[in-house]
Amino acid sequence: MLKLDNVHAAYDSVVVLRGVSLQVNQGEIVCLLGANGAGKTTTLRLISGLIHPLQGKVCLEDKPIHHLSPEAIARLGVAHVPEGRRIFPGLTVRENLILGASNRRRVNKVELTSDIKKMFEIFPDLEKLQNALGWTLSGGQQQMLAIARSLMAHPKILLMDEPSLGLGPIVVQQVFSVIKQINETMGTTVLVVEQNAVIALSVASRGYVIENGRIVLEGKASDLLNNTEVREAYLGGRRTCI
Amino acid sequence: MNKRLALLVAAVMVLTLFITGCGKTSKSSGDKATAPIKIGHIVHMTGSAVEAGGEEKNGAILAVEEINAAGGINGRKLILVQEDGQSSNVGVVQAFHKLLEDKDIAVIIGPSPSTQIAAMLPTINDAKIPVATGGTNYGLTHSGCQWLFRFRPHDGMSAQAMASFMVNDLKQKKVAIVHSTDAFGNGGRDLAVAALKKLGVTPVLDLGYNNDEKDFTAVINALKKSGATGMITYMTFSPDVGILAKQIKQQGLKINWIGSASVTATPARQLAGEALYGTYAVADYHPDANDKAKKFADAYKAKFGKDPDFYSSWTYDAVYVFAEAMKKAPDLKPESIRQALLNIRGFQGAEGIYNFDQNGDGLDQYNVVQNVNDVIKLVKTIKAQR
Amino acid sequence: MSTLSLIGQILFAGLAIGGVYTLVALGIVLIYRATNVVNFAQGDFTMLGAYVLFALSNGEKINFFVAFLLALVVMAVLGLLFELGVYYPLRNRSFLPVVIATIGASIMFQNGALAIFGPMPQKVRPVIYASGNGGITLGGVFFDYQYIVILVVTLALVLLQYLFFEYTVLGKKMQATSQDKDMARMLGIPVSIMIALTYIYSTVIGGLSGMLVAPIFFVTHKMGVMLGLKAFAATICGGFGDVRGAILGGLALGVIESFGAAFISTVYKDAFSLLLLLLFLLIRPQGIFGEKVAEKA
Repeated sequence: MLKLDNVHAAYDSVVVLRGVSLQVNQGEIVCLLGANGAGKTTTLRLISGLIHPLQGKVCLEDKPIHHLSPEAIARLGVAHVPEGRRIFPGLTVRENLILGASNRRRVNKVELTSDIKKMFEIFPDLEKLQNALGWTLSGGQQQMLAIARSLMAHPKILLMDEPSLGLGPIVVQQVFSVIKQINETMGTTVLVVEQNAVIALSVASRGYVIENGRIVLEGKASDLLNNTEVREAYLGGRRTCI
Repeated sequence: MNKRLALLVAAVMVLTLFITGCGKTSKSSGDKATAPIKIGHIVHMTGSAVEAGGEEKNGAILAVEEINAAGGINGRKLILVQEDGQSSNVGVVQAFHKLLEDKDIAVIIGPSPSTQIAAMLPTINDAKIPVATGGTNYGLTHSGCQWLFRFRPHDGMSAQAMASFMVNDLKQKKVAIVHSTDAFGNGGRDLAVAALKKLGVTPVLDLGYNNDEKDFTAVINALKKSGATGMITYMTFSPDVGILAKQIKQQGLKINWIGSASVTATPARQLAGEALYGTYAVADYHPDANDKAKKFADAYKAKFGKDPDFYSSWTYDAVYVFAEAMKKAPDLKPESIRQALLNIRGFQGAEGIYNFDQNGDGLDQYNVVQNVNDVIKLVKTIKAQR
Repeated sequence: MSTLSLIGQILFAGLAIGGVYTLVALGIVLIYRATNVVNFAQGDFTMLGAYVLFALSNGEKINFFVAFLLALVVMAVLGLLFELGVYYPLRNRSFLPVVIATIGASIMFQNGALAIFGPMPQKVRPVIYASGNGGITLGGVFFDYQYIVILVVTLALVLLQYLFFEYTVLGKKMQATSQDKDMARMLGIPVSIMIALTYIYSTVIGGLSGMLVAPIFFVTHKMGVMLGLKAFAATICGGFGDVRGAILGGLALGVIESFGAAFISTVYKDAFSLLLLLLFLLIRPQGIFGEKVAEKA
């Protein structure tokens, strides 16, 4: 479904990605593991069209999309839950959700209302908060809202940037079980970027490890969990999260 | 090697400067008898004073054309060299310096705003070249500068004329003074207070406002409270006059109004319409004041398709008076022209009769005019003390 | 004249002038919120609006109200051109280049108007054409019809704008754009169109304010300068980037100036706004409403 082929990218003159290739298949949850500054966030921003590659290709359903604007890519069905959730602080929960459907052509009111209702079923907390302004929400609530907002786009693929960042362990569990639930019930393909390898690999089917802008390891989630290098780097004494 | 090269470059540069400098002097010293005489003119072509600048330019152009058609100055034609004063103090000083670089320029016509002339004064003192001005601030010609010649009556005279007309002709004793808070307005206020005092009247109200004021409600309320029956104004910008007049009418204030020239300026009248009917103003120029003024008005209208105002009349006079002095002077050295200017007696210009005193003030009378249904009628001419 | 009617007169004049400050300030705030650009040319939009109306209505070849609407359309086009010419090429640059570009545009507008229309102040007819004083006196207070029109239009616009931003999806999209551009893009909101719309709307209300004050101020190429400055003061006092701040700041500034001139000093009338600005910068730099992380439009 989504394929990156030897992608290089840079901010100004600082090269961040040095030939990243990865693939996400229909219906999969794939995780991209790596330390701070390895290029995880850049990879997602590149897929979303916020930056363009210096060389290499990004294909969605075999069509190149790396030259498109973020708006156009969103309209093709790529939804992005960015680092820091990026809830619109001055809009209410409900308004944030409504805007989530901005990439869809001609959504009628009825459809919109029923979609919002569906979100409230998945995220019951949000229903009570629907008229609260974005900035008043807690980190966990914001994360849930960010996911819900991205689902309003009816995405083919959901990009998630460190959903565990800054959240307590219980909330992190909730977030990932929601991701799993979405994947299973709605069939949404997910690419999740994480530092927290244990939790990410527990829901993912496959994983990649990125270091200094290069993919250094890839494999099934269970294989990676048992891989000594991964264990040392992300699960051992140098645990960065939790 | 590098040092030598630098020396060579320096030498070449000095040489070029020297050669071009020589070229200039040799050119200006050649064919003196028939070469045209240049008059420098600082004109505001950009910025806020372009309105007045345009009028000043037209007045000077008209006079130069007339003088050249009549044979010029002892057979030599006059040429105007214009520099943009950019409506600012810095601009006029820059323009003045530029004009001074041209050694063929015999005399210079400066700008009208008094602050700009004040900014130029040190340079005028150094340059030692006759400079004409339309700035009416009293102090300009009373600061010891021997090279500044004023072609309009100064504010002390307008204050005398306004006070005298208000007290003696309109018979109003409860007089308010309204003025803008710039050099012109504040200076005018002081002179008006002094002039009224001489007539035994103390103003009931003295009120300043900032230029470009859009709402005069506070001023009008103060006027109402003071019980003033007469108002003397020194307002710099004519659109402000238009707004004040409209709001005075709207807020139902009845008052005898005599003001400085801005009250009869075209913008004020166009903007205020009937709100200004019946008001008085002092005017250094009025087409009915004398024959020369009438002739000037006709010629100006024929050439530019509109009526002249005091901006065009004083530069018109300045060119004529300068020409007269240059005709009489034995040569065109600045000092000779200056002496000739001081010797001019009873020269009839469009603004009035010029008799320059040692300070450089040429005129000593003011016209009082009235707006009668948008026609500016001459009421009387008041002779003032210098 | 009774004290009450005196106060009424001063209050009315202050509110009307304040309404004009508000309209100009709204334009500044909307553009700032949408694009982080402090638009120094906003004051000149008033001047452009006034001149466009003058050009269209002069000689009464077309009906005044048709000319008025046409002028608004012209302003919308100018707004789009302004966005494409000044903001768009520099949109990815830092804060300063764009701000300098708006200052450049301001100088260009003023001198362009001077070149086209000349230095002579021009007159535009008031919206309500009445013989005599152009207003009515009630209880000793003179109500200029044009001032009434200004107040009504200001209030109506503020209300319409509120409804638009609160109750339409387009309004929400414009808010989202101003709050987080990249996120808005990732949701598929056409951000460039939202920004262009913001510029168009800001230019139109700027122009509208100019068209409304034209009969009172008279039209000159400099008429927007002081208005722009006062509007900036109003936005800073209200809380820069806050719409309610612009409204309250604008009206308050007009009233304070008016009363200050009447009861303290006419000479320092302009100084009051600057004094107020200084006070706010010293004591409450975030302005009246500037306390929260972000606000609703």
